[in-house]
Amino acid sequence: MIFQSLDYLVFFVCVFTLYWQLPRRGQHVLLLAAGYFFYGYVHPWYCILLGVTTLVDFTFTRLMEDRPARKRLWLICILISNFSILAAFKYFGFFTDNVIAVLHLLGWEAAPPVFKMLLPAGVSFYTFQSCAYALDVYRGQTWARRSLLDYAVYVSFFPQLVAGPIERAGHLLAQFERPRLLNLGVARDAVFLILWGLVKKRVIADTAAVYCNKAFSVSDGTFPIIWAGALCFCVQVYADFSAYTDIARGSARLLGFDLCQNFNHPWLAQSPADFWRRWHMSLSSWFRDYVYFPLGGSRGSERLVARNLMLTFLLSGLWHGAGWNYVIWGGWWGALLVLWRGLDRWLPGFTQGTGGVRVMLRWSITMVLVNIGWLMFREQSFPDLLRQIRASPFTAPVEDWRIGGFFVAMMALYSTPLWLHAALQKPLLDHWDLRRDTRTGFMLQTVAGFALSLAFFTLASRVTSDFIYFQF
Amino acid sequence: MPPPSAPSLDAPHRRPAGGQWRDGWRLLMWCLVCLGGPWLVLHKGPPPQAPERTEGPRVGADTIDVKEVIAQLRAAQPDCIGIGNSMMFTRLGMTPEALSKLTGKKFFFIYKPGSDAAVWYLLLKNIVAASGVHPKVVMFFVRDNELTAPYTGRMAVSAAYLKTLRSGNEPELERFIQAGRSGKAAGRVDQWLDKLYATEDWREQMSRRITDMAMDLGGGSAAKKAQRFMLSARFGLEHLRGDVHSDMPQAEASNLLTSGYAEGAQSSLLPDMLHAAQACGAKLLIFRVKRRPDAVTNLPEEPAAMRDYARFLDGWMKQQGGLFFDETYDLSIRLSDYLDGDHIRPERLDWYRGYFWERMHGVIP
Repeated sequence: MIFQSLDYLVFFVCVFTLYWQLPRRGQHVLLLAAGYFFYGYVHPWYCILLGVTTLVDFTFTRLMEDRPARKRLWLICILISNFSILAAFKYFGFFTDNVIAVLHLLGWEAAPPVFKMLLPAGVSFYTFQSCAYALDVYRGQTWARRSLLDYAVYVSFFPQLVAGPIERAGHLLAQFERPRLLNLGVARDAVFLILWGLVKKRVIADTAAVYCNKAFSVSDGTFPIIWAGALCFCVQVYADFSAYTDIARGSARLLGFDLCQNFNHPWLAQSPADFWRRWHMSLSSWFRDYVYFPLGGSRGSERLVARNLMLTFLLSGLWHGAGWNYVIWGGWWGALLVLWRGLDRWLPGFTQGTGGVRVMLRWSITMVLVNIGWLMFREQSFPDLLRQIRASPFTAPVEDWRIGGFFVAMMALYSTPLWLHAALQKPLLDHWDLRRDTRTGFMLQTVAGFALSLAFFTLASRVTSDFIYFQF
Repeated sequence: MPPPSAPSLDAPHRRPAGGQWRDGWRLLMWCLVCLGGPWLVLHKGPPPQAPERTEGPRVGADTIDVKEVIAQLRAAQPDCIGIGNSMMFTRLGMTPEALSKLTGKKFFFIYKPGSDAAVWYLLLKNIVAASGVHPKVVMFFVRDNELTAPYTGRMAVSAAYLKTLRSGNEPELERFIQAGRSGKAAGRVDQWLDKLYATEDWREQMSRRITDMAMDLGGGSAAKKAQRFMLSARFGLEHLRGDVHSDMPQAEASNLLTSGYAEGAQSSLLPDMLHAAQACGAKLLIFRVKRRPDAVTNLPEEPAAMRDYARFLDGWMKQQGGLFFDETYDLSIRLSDYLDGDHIRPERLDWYRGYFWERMHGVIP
């Protein structure tokens, strides 16, 4: 079920209405049923995977506490079970394609497997969430839950089930064990978040998708068209993914839950590391806590740190998709972080200076690097990617520069609300303290809500598509 | 790690404080202001804008000059009129001269990229039938079931184009649109929102304004008309990658459907098209094109229901005195003949025209 559909609206209104009439156990049963209904709406068999993940992880985490002598064994069972699901459904095709290609290079011809498996939506998100819980129990950072119902609701909580944020037990699961409350301020914030998410998806992301698809549809793209296309994708992917997060957070708030923040204006980032502190924060912190730190993190020699960074980002790239372009994208980010660390040591005045020119320069460089990264992410064909990176600005005809300029101008106009949001959010929060239910906050939120509705009715794209991160 | 003492699940949860109903009403009022407020601004629709004449009445224009096309049609007095989208012009050519020369018959093409049955019906009724010409055959070039597919509202053709084609009330078209929407609750909501907020008109006009603004900002000094032409030429078929479907919505929609094609035909505009063709003394010919085939089998993948549908349509057309030709299983059209998606390479057009005439010369008198 997709958030921007009528089906979801009807589904959510029904769940919401019934939810607040029930006692807490009833609420959990309802959320569990709703989660499985939401997930299996198009392909009911998806629910089997979700159920298996839940049961296996719940059982073995309990064993970790009940039979602590074999704690490590139980953890390995959980990790094997979760990563087997990922391997089978997400990476099997990628693995066989590569094996066949290598065999072909060696002169052996192998037939591709006759069956293809459909990738269940959001499988990477809930397996990671479940793994995080198991690892936290293993480390003693949280306790193994005794209630299967609580745990099952935590894994299948529908607002964040298919595209995150990837929650931690300490944050979300703990909320299932507490009473919850809905008041006017919270509900208004929630509806506002949903509205903002819908505008980001239907107005900004869906429009950017049209121009991005156009730019990447030509076989003879030149420098201005390719890079304007990458910029369109930059707008599309941010608007699309953050829209999902906003609608998820808004929906969860209406049910009395607070989901973690996933984005903090990544376009304001001034370094690669800063970008990852602002982009898909729940995933970056997952990789930081469960991959980077266990590898040694920033301790040890520079060489060791570089290895840790590269490994972490290569895995992060592979998490995004079973394709070499995602691995390259991960490698790109790993390399940038390593290089920026070097720059930090040799030119601290540049990387840490607070002067306006330095800040602008750092920001510009970061944005260029981010866009190069998005080109790698978007372009699935390796030969085409090489051709695009090699494209020279000096050979492009003037018509293509005009088309590129037009695409950039379109993105500048359509992304204005995102820039305004980035520029105004902090001052508004600081000066008027909109988090408190004040009269000014109420008025401003009403005016903004009115403007968002107006934008939705007059500017929404006629064609919409699934959220990009569903495929991961 | 020991669990902290958690409240029992059977304990009553903290419902919203005493004023929950008052809060509920306030929230509802707030939503009404945010969602209802725009109605005051939008319900009358946008101010009318003079339509911009673009690159010609027959191809790719946002609007169509019906009178001009009728005049051209009258002057041509063709034997056969072809109506369709890119499935037709990437097979027979942009202009009919080459085909007319090959066959010795007078052909006339009216096509619109991305168009569907609603547009074709209006082209037939309000241009061909209204012109008073008497062609022997009117043919539609179609892919899959796009001639009889229910209305989805996801047309690639602008509302302005459809508007200029309409001639007052179009009851058959309205019935077709209603039938398509009534099956889908989302369609009915779209329709309701459109009535309330004039969303279609606003979106059309705002999108045009923003595009114009972007052209002023980023497109250099070239006139907008020239920029539009440049855009459509730069992303034309000859520049597209081989694996790109140019008519994505149609391709996706027909791939998703696996049954119910024949049922859709009953409520389609096809019977009205037959009547319109018969009214000008012409036979209606449906030419179903072959989708991009698989490299090994040289056949396209299609559900069994689609084959049943093609058989159904063949029988039904014969019953109604019409003609149906399906090239889907013709192995002489190979993958190498395709440019991108389901379009034929420009260098294979001459071959394709020959192929077409070889099969149609007995059908087109």
